[in-house]
Amino acid sequence: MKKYVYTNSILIVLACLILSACEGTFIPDPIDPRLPKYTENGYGTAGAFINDRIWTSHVNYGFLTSSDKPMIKVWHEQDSLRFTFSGSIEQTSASVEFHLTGLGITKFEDLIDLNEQKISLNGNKNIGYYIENYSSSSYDKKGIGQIYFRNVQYNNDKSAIIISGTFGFSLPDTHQIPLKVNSGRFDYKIFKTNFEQHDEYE
Amino acid sequence: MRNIKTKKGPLIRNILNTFIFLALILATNIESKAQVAILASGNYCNIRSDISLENKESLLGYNLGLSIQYYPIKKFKNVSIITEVVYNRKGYQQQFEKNYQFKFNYLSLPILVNYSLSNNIAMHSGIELSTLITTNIAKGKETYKNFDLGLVFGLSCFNKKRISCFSRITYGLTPMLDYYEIDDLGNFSREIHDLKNICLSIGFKINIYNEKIRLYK
Repeated sequence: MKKYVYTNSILIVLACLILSACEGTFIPDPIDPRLPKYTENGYGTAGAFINDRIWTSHVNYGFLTSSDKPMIKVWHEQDSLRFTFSGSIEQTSASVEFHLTGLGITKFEDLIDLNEQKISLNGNKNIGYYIENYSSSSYDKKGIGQIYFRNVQYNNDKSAIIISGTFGFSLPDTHQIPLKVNSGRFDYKIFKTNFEQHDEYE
Repeated sequence: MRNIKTKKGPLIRNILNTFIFLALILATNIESKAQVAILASGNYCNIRSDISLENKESLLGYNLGLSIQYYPIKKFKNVSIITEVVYNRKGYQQQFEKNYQFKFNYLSLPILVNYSLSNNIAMHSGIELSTLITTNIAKGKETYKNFDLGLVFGLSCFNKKRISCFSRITYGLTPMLDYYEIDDLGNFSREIHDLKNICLSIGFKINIYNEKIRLYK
């Protein structure tokens, strides 16, 4: 029962934690090599400017421990589809998260409907978050801007869906100075089997 | 991608030492009619672009190859054709908190018309066709075009000696990159076809075949 309550409390309908078996491939952007190039091949990378700093999907686990393995979390909570792109900024763990409401995407196959969708982040139903040094107030700052799923497609053997796109949003900083998340891009591979792992949570 | 900061000082000193050494050899050389040569040069390379590449800097590269010179027209004995097969390293770098180097290794085929201004000085011009073999950039052959075309202008000295030297500029004509301009919010504002090589080469040729190759009787 406790387990059920726990599950219910976090309101997870679908959840997946994807730790791809292979390393992400960081291809430097040909215009600004600090960011990954925009690609549509499921290379397992993401990156963005956080004001003048660089956030990438390179994950820091702790002192001297890091990984280029792509880490993306996708789940459905109430009517909200949520994405977390894990990464780091200047050796500090940081993630970019999106809560998107009313898309009607509840299962793996529905993700394909995101193809070519440009979703406005209004800070209310659709929100972008930048979380550095997670705290209970991390979700208080709601980002306004845009996420663009420019290309969502099955891979060649139809075992995974590749989501590729861009994002940009701004959110108030503690001193009400806007924190700008600019020139964001992502290219991840999501497997159907990863969606089935959500059973472990229930 | 490897991010190794170039140590320019010692490299430039070594190049200067090499040229002083070559100049001494040239001064004491015997005349030859060599028309097949091996060549080596240092490249001072960069990229031309319409889009703004922040903190862009030149990169040193090199050429290694084989050169064949032949005389196709009896009437114009000063005119010859030079065909070369060259392993050619070009590139550029961008300096941020880290140094990002973009190295492109081409197999190049320059086809040049050479005109002898005097016994010791000639000028040449033509085209250079290149195919990208390797690069230090992850998935670089997917990112950058595998074919490059450039115009070549140059001068050479002491062509009739066993060791001659040359200098040339290769001016890239074809864009190396097809990509997108993406704004801060993530909108794709336009396609871009940009980045063209430009390269100054200074090097020497060692003649290994001492007969003129004539294509006429």
